[in-house]
Amino acid sequence: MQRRQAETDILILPDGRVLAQNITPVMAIVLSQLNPADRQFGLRRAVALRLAKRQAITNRSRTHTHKRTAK
Amino acid sequence: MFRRVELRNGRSRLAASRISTARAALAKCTLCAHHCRVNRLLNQRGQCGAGPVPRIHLAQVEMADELELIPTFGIALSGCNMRCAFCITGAQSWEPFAGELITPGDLACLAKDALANGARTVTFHGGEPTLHIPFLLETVAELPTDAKLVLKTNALCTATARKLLVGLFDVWCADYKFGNDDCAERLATVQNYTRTVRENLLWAAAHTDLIVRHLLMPGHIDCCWAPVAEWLAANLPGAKVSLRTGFWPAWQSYLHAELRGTINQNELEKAVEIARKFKLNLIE
Repeated sequence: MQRRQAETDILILPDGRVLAQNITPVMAIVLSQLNPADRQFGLRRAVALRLAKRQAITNRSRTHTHKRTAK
Repeated sequence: MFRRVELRNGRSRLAASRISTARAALAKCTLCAHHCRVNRLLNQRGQCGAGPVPRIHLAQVEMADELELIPTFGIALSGCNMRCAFCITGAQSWEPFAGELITPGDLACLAKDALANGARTVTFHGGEPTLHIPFLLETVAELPTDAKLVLKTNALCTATARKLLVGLFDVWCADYKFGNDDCAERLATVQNYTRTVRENLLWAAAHTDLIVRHLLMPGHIDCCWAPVAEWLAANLPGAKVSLRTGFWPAWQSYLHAELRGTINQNELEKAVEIARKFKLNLIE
């Protein structure tokens, strides 16, 4: 399967409300910045940040393993 | 907390053992309430139009689902047995040949990669995933036994389908979209909607962890949300209910005057009041 680009659909209403579908982790962070008062976006931003932190730790651990292997 | 899947350790084997039965069921398809009895193995088309093998229109980590499920690796299978005018993925859900062919093994690899990178669950959605049970079983058979699996369904499947699915998914996230058969027939061309959905919800509550979803539709608070809430309070007290408020006028919503806008503040407040009145267990 060809890896497709991730997709998110966003609808911004004239009254300032922001609706979104298929929210990726990065988009969860962007949406909460776009509409900080929205509780749902805020909750999902928190989960997205935890995910990003975990991925950073995993990637760092992989890099260290590769370095050790290279030696 | 997830209720443990029956036969957790043997889930892969259990799924694999049902594949041939599931495939044979496509020869006279009665997997959903339409009971079309067409031979999908010979590419005969029933109401959903699906053939023997599904296509995938989206496979990615997603955050829009319920908090207890995210981050989830969402797998969207094309094709659906409902024709909801407001469908947010109408182009793929109404067209079972939209998207890409991908083998269960390759899909499981993508899911395993997502799990290793922090995804909490794997969600099969659509369209309607229960149209494609052989493929679901093949994919589940390839997934790690400790992966938390979610089936996102419109709850129109039959006892035949449920027998093939029992014990494989940790969570059924089931839609209860319409509070009466008239709205279901007018907006989604489905008959006997409430009887079928209720049967599936009661079954799911008894066999797995259940989340009932209801998408609030503009102009349908009294005729759809209120009866749904009342039935849930009476028949599934304490069930997790996810009230989705982000309706937007997608796809063919323009064909129905009341669906040309979004939920307004009054409707939202009224919906929450109804949930409180029936003491529903709302989750976010």
